[in-house]
Amino acid sequence: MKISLSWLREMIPLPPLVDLVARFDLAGLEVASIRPIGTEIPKELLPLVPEVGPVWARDKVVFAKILRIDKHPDADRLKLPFVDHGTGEEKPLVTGAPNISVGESGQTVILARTGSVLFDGHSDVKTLKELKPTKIRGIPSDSMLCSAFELGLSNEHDGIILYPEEVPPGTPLVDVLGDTVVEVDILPNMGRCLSMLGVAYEVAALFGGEVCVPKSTPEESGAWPCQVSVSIEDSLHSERYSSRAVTGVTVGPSPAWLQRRLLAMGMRPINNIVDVTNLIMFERGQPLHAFDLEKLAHRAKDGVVRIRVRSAQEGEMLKTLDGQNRLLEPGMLVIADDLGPIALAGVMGGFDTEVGTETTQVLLESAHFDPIRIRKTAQALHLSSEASLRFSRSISATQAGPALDRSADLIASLGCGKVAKGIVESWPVQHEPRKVLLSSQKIQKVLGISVPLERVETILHALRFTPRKIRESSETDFELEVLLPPERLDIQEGAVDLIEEIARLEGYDRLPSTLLEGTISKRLGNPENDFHNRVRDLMVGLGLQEVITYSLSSKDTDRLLEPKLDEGGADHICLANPISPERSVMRQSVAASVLEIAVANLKQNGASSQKLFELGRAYLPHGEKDRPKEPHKLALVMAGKRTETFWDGKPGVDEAIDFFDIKGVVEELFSLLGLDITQIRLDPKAGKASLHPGRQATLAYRFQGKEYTLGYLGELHPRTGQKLGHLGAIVVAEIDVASLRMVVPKRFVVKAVSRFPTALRDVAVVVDEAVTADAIAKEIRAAAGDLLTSLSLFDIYRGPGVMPGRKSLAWSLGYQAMDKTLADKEIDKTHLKVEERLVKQMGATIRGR
Amino acid sequence: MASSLDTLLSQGIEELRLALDEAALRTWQTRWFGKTGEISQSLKRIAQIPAAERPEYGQKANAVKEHLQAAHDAALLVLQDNTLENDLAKGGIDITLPGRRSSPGRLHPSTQTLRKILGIFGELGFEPFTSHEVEEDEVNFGLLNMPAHHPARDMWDTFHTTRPGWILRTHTSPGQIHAMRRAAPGPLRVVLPGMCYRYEQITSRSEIMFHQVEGLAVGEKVHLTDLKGTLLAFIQRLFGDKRKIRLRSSYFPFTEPSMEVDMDCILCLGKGCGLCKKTGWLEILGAGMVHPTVLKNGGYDPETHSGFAFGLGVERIVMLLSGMDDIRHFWANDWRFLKQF
Ligand SMILES: [Zn+2]
Repeated sequence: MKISLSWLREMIPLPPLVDLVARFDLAGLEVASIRPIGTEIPKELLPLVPEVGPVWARDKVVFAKILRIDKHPDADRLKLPFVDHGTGEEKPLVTGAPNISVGESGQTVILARTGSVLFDGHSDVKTLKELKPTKIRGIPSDSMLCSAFELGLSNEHDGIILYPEEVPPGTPLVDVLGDTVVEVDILPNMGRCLSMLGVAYEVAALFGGEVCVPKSTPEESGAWPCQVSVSIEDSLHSERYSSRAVTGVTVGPSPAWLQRRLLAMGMRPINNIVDVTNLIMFERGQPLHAFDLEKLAHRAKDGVVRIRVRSAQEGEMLKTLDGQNRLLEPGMLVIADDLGPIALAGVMGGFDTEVGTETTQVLLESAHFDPIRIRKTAQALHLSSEASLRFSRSISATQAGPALDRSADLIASLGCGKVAKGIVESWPVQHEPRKVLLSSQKIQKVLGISVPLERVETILHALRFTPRKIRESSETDFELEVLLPPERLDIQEGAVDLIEEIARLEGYDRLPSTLLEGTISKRLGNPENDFHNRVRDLMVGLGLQEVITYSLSSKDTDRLLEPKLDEGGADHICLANPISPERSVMRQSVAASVLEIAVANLKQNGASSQKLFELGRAYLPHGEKDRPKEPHKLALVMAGKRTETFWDGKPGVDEAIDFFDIKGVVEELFSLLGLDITQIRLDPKAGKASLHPGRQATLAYRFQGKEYTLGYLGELHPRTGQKLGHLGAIVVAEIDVASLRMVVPKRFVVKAVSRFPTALRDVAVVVDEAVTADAIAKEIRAAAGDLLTSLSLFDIYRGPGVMPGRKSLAWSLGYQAMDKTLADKEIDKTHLKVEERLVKQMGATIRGR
Repeated sequence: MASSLDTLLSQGIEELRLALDEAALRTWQTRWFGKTGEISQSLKRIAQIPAAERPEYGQKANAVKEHLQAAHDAALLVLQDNTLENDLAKGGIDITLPGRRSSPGRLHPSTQTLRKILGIFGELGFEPFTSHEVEEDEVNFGLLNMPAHHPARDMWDTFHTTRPGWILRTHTSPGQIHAMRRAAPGPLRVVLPGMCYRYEQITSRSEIMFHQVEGLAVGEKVHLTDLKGTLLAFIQRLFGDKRKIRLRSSYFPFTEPSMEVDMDCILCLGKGCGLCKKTGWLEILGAGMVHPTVLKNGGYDPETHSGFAFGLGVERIVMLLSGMDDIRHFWANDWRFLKQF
């Protein structure tokens, strides 16, 4: 909402601009910008001014009158006007303006004296320049006649202003044309401030002062030129329709002051009738419409104009003011006559009944329309207007009458027509004045402080509420019955709405700060959240960088890792209004999103390695009836160099991350979470086409006799890598976090550490290639039993000494007892058992034996 | 005979002086203390000495032996010290060479700040409550006092899913309903952290996805003054104990009264600068007293219970704290950005 301060000042005395803006900001009328028109803005408010223009100094920029125009003695092109500028002396001026001529004498112009700072008329860009005395072709010139561009009123260089109305010479320009337009963001519950009068009431409530409401009783004369009837057929969506007739209308441009006001509000002047309806809309917040009454009468077969407010019918069309033919839908509210729709109620008038230069009779409409209907219609037709904006914020039907009278009166007082006697209206739905009970206890309960009765009453009165005491035990113990003014449709809930108003006017800065009383009896904490944080911390400790990626993704991205998705229909939660194809579905693979980040960092951002994780949600539709599932996934992606090469040359440049890096991270994570990593089960047949067929596994874990599938890990299939444009190996893993949490032991029991020494024995096991390390480890553990306290694989060898098709795995075994130092004999016996079992069960040969 | 022992001693000392390294010392040791060394020889000679002189000779011979051994040990120590000194002198390194650094992982800046925020509210007695991101229109808007076509819905540009009535939550507020329904009619103090979505163009100033933290307290004695005190405590904990706040009247459909909470600018301390757009204030939170309709929808009786709620954007806080000026960095996850946190 733009607020012209020169206009507002006619309704209410204003405080200094700085105070006004500060108080507006705190009271819910946030000032978005300030546009000065020739006025000076205090320095502290300059950040709110998008474009600083010239300031019209009162003693330097004034109205003047051209007395006569001489030719310049030396230059044909230049003219030498003599002006009266209010000082009694005739001032000669040199000007090259093409748009004044000798016939122009008597013309009112605007004169700037030496020292004025205006936009430089010789520059295309707006640059402020001080006017200095000069000589043009020998004739001294210390003033100039101004163009709209120089004054900051226009972007065009279009000659000096020939002001259309007479203004006494010497009158400061700023007194007539100067203004400051403050643009305020209107919150949804502040619809009443979409009018100058509403803002004036707000200023009165905030700063005090009496609002001067413009008179609104038109002088009536003459009868209606034709018979008009009004009926509301859809009284659910329109409570009131009022109309007046104006006859003897002469349509023409509005007076300059009216045009200026509309321009200040950001609206283009059209003609006097339409401009008046718009002006009153800005003044009172009630949109009005003007029909050409003759055109309406012409359409009526029997000469009786029957106005109906009804719902549009299937297939009806209306050519709107903008010349567009619009197909209407049932549910849209229209104004119609016998022939059909003549206006889209509250949104836009009809082309066929428009007021034009030929119009001599006008029907003024002022009505109530349902906010939701108007909002829906404006949205459906993409027709948002100042009128529909106001209607959709709810306007009380009681406002229709005064606005109608005010506009009729203004038309008459401008001499544009005569107001016919009487109003034709329908007002089927009328509401009782609404009342709200407000007690001191309720105020105390919400605000935490008590506000004395006198203060409460003062505030309520200032906001035009009418409080009545129904109980008063003391200054701070009372109950009021508050009568609401009809326009306060934002007061819906009752007492709390009034308490908000009290707090707002009292100022929140006057409230003390306290902390909550009492304790919460039962706090559950958030173990799930705690677990997520624990996992994140462990991942960071393992050297992985956390990322957070878009949960809005695309099917293509998800299918990088889950190629089977959407094969048999839609598996995704899809957006109906995506901003781009890349962000069109809710992701199901967190790893795929992380993978894209890793590749971007390696390819575009110059990273030599990426070790990333994300603990975030996947989104599963979960059927037609149920709430979608949002399981948390832990996604890991690693690629590039294992470690940065140090200046000593170690490790070599070719040490790239592989499958065992990600497996190591997973094992370490499990171990840090208190899991037993010997219970990890990797099934090589994960069946993921996006991964290397020989380097992938389903990740499962045996816990309390059951096997839980937790996720997968693997190396990216080279073809998937190629698709991403990355040629090195990339390893990925995704673990379902809830499943992981399920297998974490609730109770952690520490194992005792033996005081006795550990004896180390090695064994090199030669087996067929097909035998897995895991299988050998299992046999070793089974054979060695409890004495075995550590087992590690330290070498794999293929080559001379080992038959082709076989491999040698060298293990280091640590033997230790809790209760004694093991004797060599005991160790030898156990170790032999291990070797024998390997030979027997695995077809192994033991090297060096 | 005794004088030969004196000669022996001075000879031994003289030879020791000529042993300039550990190898020479070892040769000396063998020559003097070996099985056939000088000392043994001289001790064997005791047999040729008259019995009466033997004790004196023996004593003296032992004294010579001890003296030489001590001299040897002292010489060895000096030599070892010299060797160590030499080694140390040669063993210097260029201490300006880069250190051997591991490449540690880091938490994403949003996670770091989210934790700080939740930590502060945790100490103030607010437990985290997580809720759904794909949400029913009814819970995101309707139950929060915004029935269909309520003009306030325009305040949130919404992503709709193709499933009718289901959207991506535009704020964490729908979690209020879930949290209240779990706790009602008991008292409630929760913070609702999580990702929210807005249908917007992605620019340096706006994102389609951001973390919000929302706070909610419901009870029989929850007042606007408590809201102010809680937020002041939070802001002073996060931004420093000198911070001031100011409450500006505002509008949210689910709170009444509603307000925006500003804090004096952390950069210019209220004088006005680029960060605060010369106003001296930074907008930090939206807040208010829970609307009676929302309390009812959550299962509370608004006559006996009241509540306050507030919400803030995590990424905005990160940006304020770190001087970032482009919100797109958060989900782009450029390693050069992340490694700074
Ligand atoms: Zn600042």
